[in-house]
Amino acid sequence: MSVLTIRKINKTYGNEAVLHDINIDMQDGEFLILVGPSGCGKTTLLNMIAGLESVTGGEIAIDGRRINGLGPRDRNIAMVFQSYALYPNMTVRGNISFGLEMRKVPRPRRSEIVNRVAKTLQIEHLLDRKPAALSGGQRQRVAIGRALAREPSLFLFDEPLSALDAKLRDEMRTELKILHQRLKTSMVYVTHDQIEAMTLGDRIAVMYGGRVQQLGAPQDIYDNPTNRFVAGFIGSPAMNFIPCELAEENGAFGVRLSGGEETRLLPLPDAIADKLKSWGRGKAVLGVRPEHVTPSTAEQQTEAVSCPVNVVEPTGPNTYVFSKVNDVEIIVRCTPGHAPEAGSRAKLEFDLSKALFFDPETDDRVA
Amino acid sequence: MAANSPAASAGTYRSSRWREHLDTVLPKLTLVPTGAAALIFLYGFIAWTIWLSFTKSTLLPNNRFAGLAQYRFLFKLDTWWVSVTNLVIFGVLYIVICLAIGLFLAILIDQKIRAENLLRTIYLYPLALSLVVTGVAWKWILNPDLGLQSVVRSLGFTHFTFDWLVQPHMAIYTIVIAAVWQASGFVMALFLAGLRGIDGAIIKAAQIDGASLPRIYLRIIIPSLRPVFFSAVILLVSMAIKSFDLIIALTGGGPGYATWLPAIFMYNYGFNRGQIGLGTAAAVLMMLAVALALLPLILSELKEKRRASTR
Ligand SMILES: Nc1ncnc2c1ncn2[C@@H]1O[C@H](COP(=O)(O)OP(=O)(O)OP(=O)(O)O)[C@@H](O)[C@H]1O
Ligand SMILES: [Mg+2]
Repeated sequence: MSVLTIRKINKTYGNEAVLHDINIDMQDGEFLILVGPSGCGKTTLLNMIAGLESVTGGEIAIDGRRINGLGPRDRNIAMVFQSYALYPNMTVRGNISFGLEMRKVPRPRRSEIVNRVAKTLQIEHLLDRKPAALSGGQRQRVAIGRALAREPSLFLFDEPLSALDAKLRDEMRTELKILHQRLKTSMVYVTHDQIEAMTLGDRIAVMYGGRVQQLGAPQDIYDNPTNRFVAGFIGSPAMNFIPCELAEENGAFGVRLSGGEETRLLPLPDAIADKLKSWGRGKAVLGVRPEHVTPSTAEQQTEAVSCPVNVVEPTGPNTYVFSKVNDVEIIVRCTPGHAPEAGSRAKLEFDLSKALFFDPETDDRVA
Repeated sequence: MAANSPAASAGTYRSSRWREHLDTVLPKLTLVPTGAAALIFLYGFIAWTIWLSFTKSTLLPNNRFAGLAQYRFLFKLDTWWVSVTNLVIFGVLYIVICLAIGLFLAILIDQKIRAENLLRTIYLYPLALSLVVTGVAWKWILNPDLGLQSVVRSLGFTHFTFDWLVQPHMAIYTIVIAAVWQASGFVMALFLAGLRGIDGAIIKAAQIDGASLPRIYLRIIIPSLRPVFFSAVILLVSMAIKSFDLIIALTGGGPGYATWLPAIFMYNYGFNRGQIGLGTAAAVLMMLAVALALLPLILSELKEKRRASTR
């Protein structure tokens, strides 16, 4: 059964439309990520699900029940905020049990739940402290604990980890994932961090400009983005976009690539070539991920393009090489030790079976 | 750079030393006049006042030691006890009503009612008026023959009476009215600043937790304004104890001595009736009261500092 259904949701502030025709259907127990750049409307959408923001048009249902007009307290949801939003005057215990108290849960049951939640999140020793006496990570745990206490149908997280430092963020991310696997509750999780999105989500909704650009499983979105925005947003370092000419020579259909010296026509696999032929234009944007371009080791490689090596950046597990093809900068991922030297030239091989093509005008995917 | 060559640096050595010296001394030097003035006119005169309260000074200060005689005499005076009782009535009502109105207005404004800027200006305006102007204005408003009472009577309610100003037992409440009118806007500004400092997400979280708006205010927002309450109370206490000009302008201490406060008492005995010893004794007691009111603030400030430095 679907726990959350969002149908044709619109939102306008005054004359400014910030959300357009959002449709999402979420299965019970799913971990759904809303990801997108700043200002794309993630928080607005989440607040509309929570009932903190009115719905301009469309319908939201939780557990099959239409909730458009209901207040936040009647929606059976819990929310974790980016700023934690702990009640500063209450102890951790008070913070966790406040929602239960407001829902008239009897006192003994309340303390039972508080203890259970504290144990789950390992914050038992903090129960009598005020939020001001907690570290950022501990506050975040308490904020999650406050949400867990109520056993709602749906958890909403608004960038819960973005205020933490990098190391703690990684730890909490893993913990959240474990928590979700154990509790199997439905969660909607907002982030602008695509790594968080990839690692946590069962499904990801990539948003941009108030629209859901693509909704799907992380790997699917990574491999098969529907447009140039999604392709560039998901993945780090970002996908390379190379404007190029499509041409047919000696019966081979391919792309023309040049590293500044001679121009090569690299033939495309049949499946891609067929799509591009039926699309029928001469110019496209080639999208290729950094890991699908490799410096060639073989001496006589006909399908490699000789390119300049401008900068070499070792990061430990990978070394990134910055080069230039068709006058745009591209990033190439190499294994350390096999990276070419900065200032030299290298032959780059393009794995065109993984290549994507976008319409230069509309940015839609064409192959 | 010239200073890098050996000859030049030898030449400028002395003058740069001297300038360095001046740099450290000058700031202290500029503070000397202020410091000396504070020392003499503030602490010197406090000390002198305390000393005078133990002497037999009458019309002119003298140094004939009298022990606690002035204090003993003071405690036997009806006027003193009226002043103290008035201070308690005035102080409690003034502080409680100011806090209540200030908080209420601040919450209203924070709930985004319209014309916030206009309202804030209106509420804060009284504070910009001198207390004497406030006193005179309310003197006219409350005067039975000129103000509110006569206006309402002229509207046809001929039995309407509002003559607290001339009723010995009620006159002190007119001072409460005027003083509250003057200060509650200021208290509102304090609370508004406190409310604005509260993260809006806290309110959203409480809504999701199922709390109604009054509940949210009672259980979360107002309790977390504790520091604001604290500073507001401290400020109001010291303002209440020091009240002088408002009363002089509004009732002149009358009818009779019905609206005397300790400050009026001190002024009357010290300067009008040639009882400097008695007046200074009252002044010393007032200073003790202010100090007691301010002590918690100072202590908590120190505690904050210590906590911050150990962190
Ligand atoms: N109360 C409001 N009135 C008018 N416009 C608003 C209001 N709240 C948000 N917006 C606009 O709606 C758009 C979406 O805002 P939203 O807060 O949902 O972005 P977001 O995706 O959460 O961004 P971020 O990652 O920075 O949190 C923004 O362009 C913002 O300017
Ligand atoms: Mg946001």
